[in-house]
Amino acid sequence: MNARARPVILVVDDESSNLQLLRQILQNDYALLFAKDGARALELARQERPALILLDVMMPGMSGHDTCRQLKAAPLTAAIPVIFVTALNQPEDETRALEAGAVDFISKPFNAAVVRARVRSQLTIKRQADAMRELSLTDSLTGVANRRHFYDIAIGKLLQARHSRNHYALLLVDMDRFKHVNERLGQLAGDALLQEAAARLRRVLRDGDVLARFGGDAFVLLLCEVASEERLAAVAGTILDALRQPFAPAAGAAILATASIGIALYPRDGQSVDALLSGADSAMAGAKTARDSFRFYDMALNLSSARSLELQGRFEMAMRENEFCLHYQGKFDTARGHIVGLEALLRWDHPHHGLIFPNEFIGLAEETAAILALGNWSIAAACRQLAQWRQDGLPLVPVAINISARQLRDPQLLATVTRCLAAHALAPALLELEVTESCFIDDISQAREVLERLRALGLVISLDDYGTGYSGLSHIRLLPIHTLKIDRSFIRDIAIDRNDAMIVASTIGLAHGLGLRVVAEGVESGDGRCAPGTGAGHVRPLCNRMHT
Amino acid sequence: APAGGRVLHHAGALQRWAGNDSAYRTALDRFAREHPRLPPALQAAIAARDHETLLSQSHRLRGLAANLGLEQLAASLATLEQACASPGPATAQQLDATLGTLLTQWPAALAAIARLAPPALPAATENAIDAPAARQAASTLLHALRRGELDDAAQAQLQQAMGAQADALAPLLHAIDDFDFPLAQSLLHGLLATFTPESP
Repeated sequence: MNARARPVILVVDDESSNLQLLRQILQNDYALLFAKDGARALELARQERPALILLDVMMPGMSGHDTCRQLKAAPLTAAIPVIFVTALNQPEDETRALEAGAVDFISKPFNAAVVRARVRSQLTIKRQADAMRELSLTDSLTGVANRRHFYDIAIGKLLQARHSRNHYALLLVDMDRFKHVNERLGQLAGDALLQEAAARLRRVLRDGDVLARFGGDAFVLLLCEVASEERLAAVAGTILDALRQPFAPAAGAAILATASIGIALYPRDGQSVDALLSGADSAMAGAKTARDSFRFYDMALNLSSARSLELQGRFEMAMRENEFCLHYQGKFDTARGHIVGLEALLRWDHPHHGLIFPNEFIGLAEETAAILALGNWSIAAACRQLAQWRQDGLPLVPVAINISARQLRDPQLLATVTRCLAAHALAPALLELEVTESCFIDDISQAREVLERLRALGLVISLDDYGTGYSGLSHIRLLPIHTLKIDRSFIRDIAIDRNDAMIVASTIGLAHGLGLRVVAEGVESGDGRCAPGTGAGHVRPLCNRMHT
Repeated sequence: APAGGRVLHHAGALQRWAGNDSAYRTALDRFAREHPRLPPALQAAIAARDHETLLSQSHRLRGLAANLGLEQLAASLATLEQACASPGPATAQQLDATLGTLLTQWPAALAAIARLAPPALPAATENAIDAPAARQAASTLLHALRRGELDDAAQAQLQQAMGAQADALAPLLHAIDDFDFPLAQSLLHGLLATFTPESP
């Protein structure tokens, strides 16, 4: 039954013997799923996306017609053809079936040959339609996504990006002096070069990234979940390297080509696909002057310093105007598959600039005392949210909050935490404070003392982004922490980089030896190599704007 | 089906069941168990002239009977369904006449079903239960059922692994046979809980 190479058909009927009969008729050629009512059918259709649905018309509860209408109304299931299975045989029954969105219908009592023929015929039509759809979405020369398809995917990805702590970047890749290749060697050679360039770009991409050709020699890439700008620069470098290798045409001498790349970052350089494209295009102009190079969209040329000043001047008002909010991202126990905690991610929903991520404003806040107010606000907001969830009858899991180095040195921190917990009668273990290695640069003994007192109070302390700094585990051993969170830049590449995989494996082993829990940041593969993990791929972060 | 159809058209129905005699007999067996007599609800609806209820009930039963090759039942139920689809002055009389026919046809259909041997059950073994194999098979089956799939291989492995205790699976097998996946899943959960975990 698991031979998923066979087309999957969902069979829906409230009568077991009908299901049984259709099973006998179809099971040799198809993988079958069964549902006895409309609600379950909708659920399975969304979850399993069958190639075809056989749907009984008369069912108690949600009728076949209603089920079909709902399938057709939902984007995920609208394209799945539905064949009605019915003992109704009046012409108006047929009309109603077609009006509800069915493509055909099969009459009871079943004739096995007719059932098979109708199913086969609809699957053939579906396959052809899928192929046509595929054609309409891809660039015919290179097989990568076309402009329209890129927009469709990228818009969805940018919605995901809103809740991610990582970078999303749009890269415009343009072959240098491509016009000369076409003019000197002919269009066929030019086309072959573009095909090879697309193939090389594909090899650089990871799962989840998007590659498209926008016509001519312009490729567009959307890189998702990149740990840092440095990492992004490394990817851009890899792309340039890949395209710099000689292109070997079927006949004639190898062609040497290079490319230029313009990079725009979400959300800093733009919050829509168009804005990012325009940013990457501006950056491209700079890259083109040098050729064989990449450039980031340079905010300094636009409004960077003015914007920084503006943001810095607005902290107080932003807090008053309730512009900050916490997004909650689930922490999963990858082995058991359930949420064991939440991580509060700070966002600034600026009235003019839209959503701003902490990497843009935390640094600015740290230059002033605003960082303390912001930190205190986060603690209060998370406590208030926990109390709200408790009031709503939801099961509570610990919420993790980032604490800055400066806040850790704040003599009032302990009092603030105690006050916030007491105000909502919350158990201290519901609050997890996340510190980074940078907190210990200046004065490890003072930081340790504060953490020890917080830990004694009952709070969970974890060390965030482990692996990006300089602390060895022997150093970490001195700190009163419960949990070590391994940085996503390691985790992200476990599947492809043996070195990273070894570092992670040995870190986990050593940390366990020290009695620490280990959390893998950004786990999305679900392979259970570290447990628990946090990953936007597992749970959609919740957004709650908080009032203090 | 024509009015003069057979009580039970075995060969015709078997063709519909893709020649799977065992599955066909299982379905007949279930029909006989679930409908040991003309459903009282149908009789009550005829008495009450409840056309709407009758329409849906006769429709459902007609499809069922026709699929099983119970041709005479299917024909009478079709008459009932048509009468209720467009009721007129003669409908009451039609309903009463059909009720009379059905009251004779129903036992005849059940007798015909009883004359066919019930489906063969897998022979129970004397073996002791193979807990690891049973746990594995039960987990696989549970996984399939969760996504609306049947898994005959896992089901057979489970029966095999349960050895002499395979009879305890009867409610589970009935639930699966009835496509009652929620019940089957909860029975499997119950079964899995009886096995000691593999490792602490």
